[in-house]
Amino acid sequence: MAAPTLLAPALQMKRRRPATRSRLRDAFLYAWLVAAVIVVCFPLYYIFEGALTPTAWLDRGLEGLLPIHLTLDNVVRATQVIPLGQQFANSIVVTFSQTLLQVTIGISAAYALVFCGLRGTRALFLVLLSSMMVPAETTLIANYLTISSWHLIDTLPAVFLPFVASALSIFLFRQAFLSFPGELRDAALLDGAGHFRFIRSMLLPIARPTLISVTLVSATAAWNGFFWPLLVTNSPENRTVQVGIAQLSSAEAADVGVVLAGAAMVTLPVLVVVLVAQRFLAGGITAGALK
Amino acid sequence: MSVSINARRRVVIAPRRRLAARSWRHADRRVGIVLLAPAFAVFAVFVFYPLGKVVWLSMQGTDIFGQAAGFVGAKNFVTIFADPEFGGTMLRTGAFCVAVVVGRIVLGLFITIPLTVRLRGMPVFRALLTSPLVVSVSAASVAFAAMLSPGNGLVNSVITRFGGAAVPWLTSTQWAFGSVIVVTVWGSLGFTVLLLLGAFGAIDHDVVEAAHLDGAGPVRTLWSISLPLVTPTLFFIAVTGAVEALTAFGQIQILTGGGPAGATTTLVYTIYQAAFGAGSANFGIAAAVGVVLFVLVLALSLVQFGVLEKRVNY
Repeated sequence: MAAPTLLAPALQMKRRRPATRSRLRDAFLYAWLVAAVIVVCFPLYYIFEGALTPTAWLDRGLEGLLPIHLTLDNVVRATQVIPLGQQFANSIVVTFSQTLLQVTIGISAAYALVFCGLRGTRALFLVLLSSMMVPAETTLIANYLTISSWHLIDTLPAVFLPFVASALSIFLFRQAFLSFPGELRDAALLDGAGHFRFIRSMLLPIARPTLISVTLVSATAAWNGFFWPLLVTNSPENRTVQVGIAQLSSAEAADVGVVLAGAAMVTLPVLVVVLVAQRFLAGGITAGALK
Repeated sequence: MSVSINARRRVVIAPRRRLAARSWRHADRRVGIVLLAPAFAVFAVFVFYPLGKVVWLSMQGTDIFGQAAGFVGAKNFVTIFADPEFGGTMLRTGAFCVAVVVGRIVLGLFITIPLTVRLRGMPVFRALLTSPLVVSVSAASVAFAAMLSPGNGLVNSVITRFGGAAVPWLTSTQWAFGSVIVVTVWGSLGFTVLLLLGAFGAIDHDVVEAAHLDGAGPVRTLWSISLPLVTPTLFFIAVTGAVEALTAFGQIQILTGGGPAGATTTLVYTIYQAAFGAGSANFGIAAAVGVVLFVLVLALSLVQFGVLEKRVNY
């Protein structure tokens, strides 16, 4: 770099200007981002702040947004108006069963597709994938009739049974398994490991990020379900908590704090899970989205 | 021959391994069938059979108890398409899809593009701006219902505080549709930002650097380099957004119940009303609408596969 002595003034000018411009640009970006956070996160803030604030204070509008009268009364009231505790337990049972089965069925199906040398694997895989093109809202009526003919209406199995297998889970596990070196698998089987042993001690440890993502995505979907649980349950004590809070909202519309307490209780578990395992959730969703 | 996808990969490897593979192939297949059976059983019972059944039901009349009552051919379809209200519902559903897709892409880009700049504290902004992801449709809907309620709602109390007139957000034909759109867009924003962050993050930095060296400003770089590179993701977001909007239910049920005067009734809500609405058990009509919905979703999926297949390999 011999030139700088000659060009120094010009270069300095050129260098300094981008520096100031970028500080201005940074300030603008921060302002923009803060504005975006306020707009995007406001409903989330409102849910949690409102859950812990007396309705009388919330009803004052803008002042109600200041968290200065915090109380747990709304939460207590919400559990008294509807059997929220029972519905919470129902949702946990549904989420746990649906996720466990989706993961188990997903792993076994993907394993069969990748490692078992079945005839027409590709066709089988396409049939499984094609189920993704059938919207649940189309099959709803027929599924309702099926569940009703099995006398399962108003039971918890009715809520999760139609969703215990998911093409997306199978797809994601298959993608993860495909990258497993075939030699290692053959070596394991030659050394006397059974299929189960191989899956448990070699395949799953390697496919662990996929396992975690699929679990998170399945669990979130199961926890958040609304339409189908609304159809197949009738009695308040058999509802899931998502349906419960909707009913709470229509029955107690005037009591904003109580309604928001319900919404907060439904949201909190997912929020915690996402905060703890955010990168896996992102991985799962984007993997599913962009193959 | 059983040329599975991985078997094809194996062919390259030493013959010793192929021999070994052959020796447990039989047992493997049996295990494979057993392991695949549960998935196929579930899909058969809860996806493929009901799809057939809905198509069959759509050509059946329905008695007053909601039971199928004899073949009527295309009569249900003729009935729904001849109903002027259904035409309105179709148009409304289309408008809803377009508004949701446009809203989600425009807002998603406005939020995500600043997030791609390297700045102090960016991880916090990213986490905050994807956080609506955690709110379920029903929780979002009850929160917005509280905010938009005509009496004690937050929005109206702020408007009246500043001297404005309260707006019937959910109870007037004028505003209800827009309110449902806003709630739907907000609900999908976290997911959209997450996807876009992934897409922008995957852009090859050298390409952007090269554009800078060639004298392209940030706007030009964004318009001519970054946006074209994330087009496949934008397209994916558009298609999934359209499907999501087509199948929207929770927010409509909770916020407006399809009203006022049908102003927020979309295809899926029509299915619900026809089959399970008060005093109505018309499974034939509901099934016919379900078939229409299936055709629309199928068309969207096929477009998506067709286009993505092409774009992915560019």
